[in-house]
Amino acid sequence: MNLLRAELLKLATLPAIRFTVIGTWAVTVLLSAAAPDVSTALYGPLLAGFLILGLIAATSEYQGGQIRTTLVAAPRRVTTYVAKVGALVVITLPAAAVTVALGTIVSGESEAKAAGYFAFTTVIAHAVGSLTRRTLPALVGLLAYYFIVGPLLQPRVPFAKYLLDSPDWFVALPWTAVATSLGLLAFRSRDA
Amino acid sequence: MKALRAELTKLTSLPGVWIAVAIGLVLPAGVTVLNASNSRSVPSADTGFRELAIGVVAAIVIGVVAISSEYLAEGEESGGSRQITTSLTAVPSRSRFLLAKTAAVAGTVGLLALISSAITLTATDLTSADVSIGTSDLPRVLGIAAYWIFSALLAAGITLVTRSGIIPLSVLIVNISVVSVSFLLTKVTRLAYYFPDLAGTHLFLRDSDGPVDLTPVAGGLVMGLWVAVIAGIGAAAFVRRDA
Amino acid sequence: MPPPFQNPPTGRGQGVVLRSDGPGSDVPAGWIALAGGMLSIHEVTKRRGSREILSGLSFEARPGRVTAFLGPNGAGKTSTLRILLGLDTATSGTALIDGVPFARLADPVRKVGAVLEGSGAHRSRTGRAHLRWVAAAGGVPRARVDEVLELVGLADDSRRRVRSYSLGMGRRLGLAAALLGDPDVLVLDEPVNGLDPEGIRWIRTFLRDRAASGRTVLLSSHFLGEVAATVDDVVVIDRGRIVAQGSLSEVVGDHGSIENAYFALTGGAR
Repeated sequence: MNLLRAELLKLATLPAIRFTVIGTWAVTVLLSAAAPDVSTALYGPLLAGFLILGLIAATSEYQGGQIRTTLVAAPRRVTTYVAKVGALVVITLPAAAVTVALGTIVSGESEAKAAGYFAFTTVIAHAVGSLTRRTLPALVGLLAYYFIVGPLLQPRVPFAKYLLDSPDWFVALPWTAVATSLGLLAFRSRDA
Repeated sequence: MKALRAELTKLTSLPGVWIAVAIGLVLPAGVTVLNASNSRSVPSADTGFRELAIGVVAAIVIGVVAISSEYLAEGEESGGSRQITTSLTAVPSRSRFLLAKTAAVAGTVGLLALISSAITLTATDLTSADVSIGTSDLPRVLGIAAYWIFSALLAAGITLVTRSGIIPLSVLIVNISVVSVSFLLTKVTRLAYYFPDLAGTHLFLRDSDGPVDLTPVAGGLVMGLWVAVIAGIGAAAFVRRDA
Repeated sequence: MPPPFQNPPTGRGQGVVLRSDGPGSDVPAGWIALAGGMLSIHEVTKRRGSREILSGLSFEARPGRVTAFLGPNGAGKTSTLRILLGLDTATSGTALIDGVPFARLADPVRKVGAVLEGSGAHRSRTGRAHLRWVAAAGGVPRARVDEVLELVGLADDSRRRVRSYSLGMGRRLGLAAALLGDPDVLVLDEPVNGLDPEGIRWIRTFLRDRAASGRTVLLSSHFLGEVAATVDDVVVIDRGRIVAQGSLSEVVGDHGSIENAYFALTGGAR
């Protein structure tokens, strides 16, 4: 419980997290008004906000040597990593819910399932950030996959609906579990 | 000249730049091959060039990294100094520093665009029976090079203001996707067709699908104007602010 | 400018008996188990790729004493401290705190405080926010945050972002985080690096005081004059191997000074 509180404090006192969430909400309002239907807006550019959210939650740990402070205060790495993912989910769920609600208010249509998609994607981005430990390479990789390669593959390959960027919860959940396990393994075994 | 050589050395010693070069060479050619083997994609006058437009992600990454690497704080301790301190000690004139940086980025990205065009268009010529690429397409290749260079400078200009790569990378890469923010905004106002990314495509695309049809020169001018304004703001911020 | 450090408190929050004898004396064997804080590095080897960074290192840092860890750049001092703190894994050998690896300590924040290079804080957080999350992780009451800020002289700058801190202020913040749990053991990598003369004097008195109250201090340093004025025991390493260890007077031997001993042992005056 102490660790979850510490991780929540970390996220809450990082200005970049606040800017990302508020920026995502602002873009939601803009795009929900512009897009032909709310799904186009939600399953489109808005995802970038949640990718950034998950990614900087992970990589900020490696800036300014903070990881040393974290692991000296909380050396049980598995527990610490679980607390990190838990804190991220606690922050992401309301952020995603507000995003979907804003979309509904502006466009008049409802696409509640998108909130789950946002949460899964955020946790996947966190795992990628834990693996790379660096922001920009991971960001380029995630954006290039979710916005360029993924959409290109979607109509062209038969297995496209089972890929990482599927909005289907039953596909996204196993991907999220696999990514988080890989992130956990790396966090547990690597030299900090 | 010394400053330019220094900037080229800096640029080519960044791993991120080499990854971008690899993306720029492989992505458009790869998509071309993928499209050719797919029955659903219909060949058109723009086959090969639409794919090259996707490769602009490489130019964006190079433009961002060229600036953000100067300010990189990753793994760095408080009180530690960033590369920009060393850069401005070596080349104290900030305008000369920016000019050298701009030339290094433009030269690298331009060269990359030409090589990538050669690969992708050869692949197009070989894989697509209905499309043939000839010397008459040379102006369009120059259009691709201009589009990539403009995009890189746009990215660099935004990064001069933000100093972090997160915002420019997100905004510009998301905008390459099919459902780009610019595209969505065209539903609200026709003015969105004059956004830099959409106007710039007229440099090399011939099948215009929007209601606003610009000549290549006009498209280039509109995008160039955007770049001049945004990079100008970035340069002004850079010259005035403490490093 | 940060305000001066506070005068060090003496033995606050500690139930241990203060030792009346000065530095250099031996600790009674039975006493160690009670006070806690014995650091034992045993046969630690670390390889990175084909490069051997540490080769079978063994030494101890005992309660009631300040132990200095000396050696040239790249000798393996920081690597050893990182292995002791569980940040890096040793290829072989053990690094234990009271017989337990760091990661298995029941209450790490109250047992060990550590400052490695820099501040260990994210640049865009305020100093206070940094200390608050560390306190939360260690289950330390929030009021303690203000105490350690006062202690290291950062109280007036605690609401500024870490990016605006000077090198010395960053070091003070790192020290403040290490002291949150008022730990039995302090592990410090180059503690005086970046501090002003006033800070250096403060830390010397502070560390002597920690040892006098029965706690353990292990520090690495390049400032040999400072070491001579502060420490009881010395461990010298060179290229991943121990070249000398013992009490300060034993290591100095007939070299006359710790500096002469250092250069003779590490072959630095070639």
